Amino acid sequence: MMSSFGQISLAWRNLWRNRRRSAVTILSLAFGFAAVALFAGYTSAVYSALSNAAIHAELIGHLTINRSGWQTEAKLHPEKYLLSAEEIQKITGIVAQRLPGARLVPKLSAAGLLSNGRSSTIFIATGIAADDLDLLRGPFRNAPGSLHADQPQGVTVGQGLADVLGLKVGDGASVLVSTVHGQANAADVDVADEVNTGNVATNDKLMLMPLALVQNLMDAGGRAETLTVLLPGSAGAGHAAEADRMRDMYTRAAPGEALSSQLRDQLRSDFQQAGMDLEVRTWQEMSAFFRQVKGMYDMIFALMLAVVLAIVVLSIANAMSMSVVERTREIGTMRAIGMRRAGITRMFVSEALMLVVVGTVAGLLLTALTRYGVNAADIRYVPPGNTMSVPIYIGFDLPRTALAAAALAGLAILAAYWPARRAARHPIIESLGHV
Amino acid sequence: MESNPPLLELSGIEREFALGETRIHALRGIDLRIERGQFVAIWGPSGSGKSTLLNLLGLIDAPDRGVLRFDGQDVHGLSDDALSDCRNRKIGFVFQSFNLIPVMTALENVGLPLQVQGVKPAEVRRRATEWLQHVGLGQFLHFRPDRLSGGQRQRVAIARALVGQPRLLIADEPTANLDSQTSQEVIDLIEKLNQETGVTCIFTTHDPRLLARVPRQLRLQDGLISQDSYTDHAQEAA
Repeated sequence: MMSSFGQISLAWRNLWRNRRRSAVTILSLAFGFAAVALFAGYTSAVYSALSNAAIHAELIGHLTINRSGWQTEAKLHPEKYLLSAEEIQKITGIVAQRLPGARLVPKLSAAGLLSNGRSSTIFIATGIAADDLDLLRGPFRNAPGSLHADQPQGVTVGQGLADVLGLKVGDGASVLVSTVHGQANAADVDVADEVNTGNVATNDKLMLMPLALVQNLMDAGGRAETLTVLLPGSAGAGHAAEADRMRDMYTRAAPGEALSSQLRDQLRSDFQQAGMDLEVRTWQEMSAFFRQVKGMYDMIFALMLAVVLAIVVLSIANAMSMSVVERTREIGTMRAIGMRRAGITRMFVSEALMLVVVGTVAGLLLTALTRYGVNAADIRYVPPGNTMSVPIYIGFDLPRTALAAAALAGLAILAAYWPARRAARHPIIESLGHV
Repeated sequence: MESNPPLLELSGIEREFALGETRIHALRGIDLRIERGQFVAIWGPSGSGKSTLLNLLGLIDAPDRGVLRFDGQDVHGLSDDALSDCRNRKIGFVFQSFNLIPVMTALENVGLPLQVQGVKPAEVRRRATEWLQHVGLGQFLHFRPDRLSGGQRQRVAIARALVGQPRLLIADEPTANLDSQTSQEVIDLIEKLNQETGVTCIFTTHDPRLLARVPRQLRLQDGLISQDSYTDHAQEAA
């Protein structure tokens, strides 16, 4: 058996012998691999951005705690699904024990009419304490959309909603809601801030209100319907610069599905043991938009990977088959001087692997250059259903890039193995007589 | 089993090939003994079965019928890996068209059988260099085949065939692609190596001038040995 160095050296020289063909194969491999790596990096950045948007901009947090049945029944019987102050305190203790350093944010939602005195329109509000909102918004906390603890009647209004009613920051307005007992209740509010939610569906309805104000309006003092868990170390830097904030969104990884599910199950178990009938959901379960986008991109990635693999593998198979045919006589000679069939097969597989290694390295370089160029160019677009343009950012998805490289290597081995095996099993005298 | 069996012993060897729907009987029942250290030429008209017999003796082909013993062992039923190992360690090949590996230097070509054996690279280099010097190519160690003349290539091929210290050297018309002067030199070299190393040499040829120098001559005709003759000197030695 030849030494590894001898085998690598021979493989390299055989590839160099047909350098034009090898170059074409390596280029197809490099471009295919770069396309897959870039798409994986792009979708990875989109997943990070969507997850951070869900957790911090949509205020979903990492885990959401409600009374069991809240999701389906709370609209009909809101009072039944509110958590009392005692329950909130007990839950806070359990969460602190299970997840030290995590923060628990109580929220109470309200829906009703917002009026400027002449006309009114519907709104959907989240009641949350100003400090908790800052905490939950993390990287967005210095962006427009905050509440202020010194303004108990100050609310933040979605830009679309403000436009509908012609409201500006500093204007007064009235809100009308139903209490948890079904009675109407109204209050005057001040427009303290406007925010573009970035989402067509929510921008003309959303309001953020101080939790105490919503509790008063709903006649639910000290109570909350949702407790949002924010894991430690996820607040972000809170950069003021939009570019830095976007970069932070694209690069900061949220807890993955496995970790989220594990924490959810632990809390569920803790609550059960404490005799509390509560539901716990992960941020992935709460954000249908994230799930749908991820599902779509994952499918596109799989399809793209399959197409690239097919093209690259056919290219390698073609190069190897031609090489095997051209070197039939050499194969016969090597067999005659005692090289085993496995040795012949190994020789061609080494060449295919070398093509993959060189092609993959070239593909990685191409990926790095393209990634640098695209990220530096600050190319922007408005995603479907959004109201703001966002920059295209290409990240680096190591697991899926490694998966693509491994798949290429595995399939290249197969692509080289079959023609080489056939040649190795060919009768030696016929191989030697091949012209 | 004999205590010192012949290197090759063939009995009732037959070999057929399919040519379309007809069967060609290349060998029709060969009985033959070749002792260790013999220098044997196989000759005869085209299509007489010379190359077929040589392929069988070199274990790169298998007979359809009959028994072939190499070094006392019946090779029928040996696995492909066992036959490969046997060729690697016990048989050296010299081909009509040299069959050097074009991407390898003379040194690497000669070292190839040792590399296949798994000999350490430094030892491969040492032995291959020694053999190239032995065949007069010490100045051409790092030349690739395309920079060598026909005679030089055949010397590289001979060095490659003998570097593993085989018991048998098989040469299929080793001088067919060489001019007469170079042919003489190549046969001189093979003869000298036969005498020096005691390796059994069998080659095929069409060249009557070369035949005269070979102690044992096997003439093949229509797939049968029609004449097995020794020169006087060779017969005495046998």
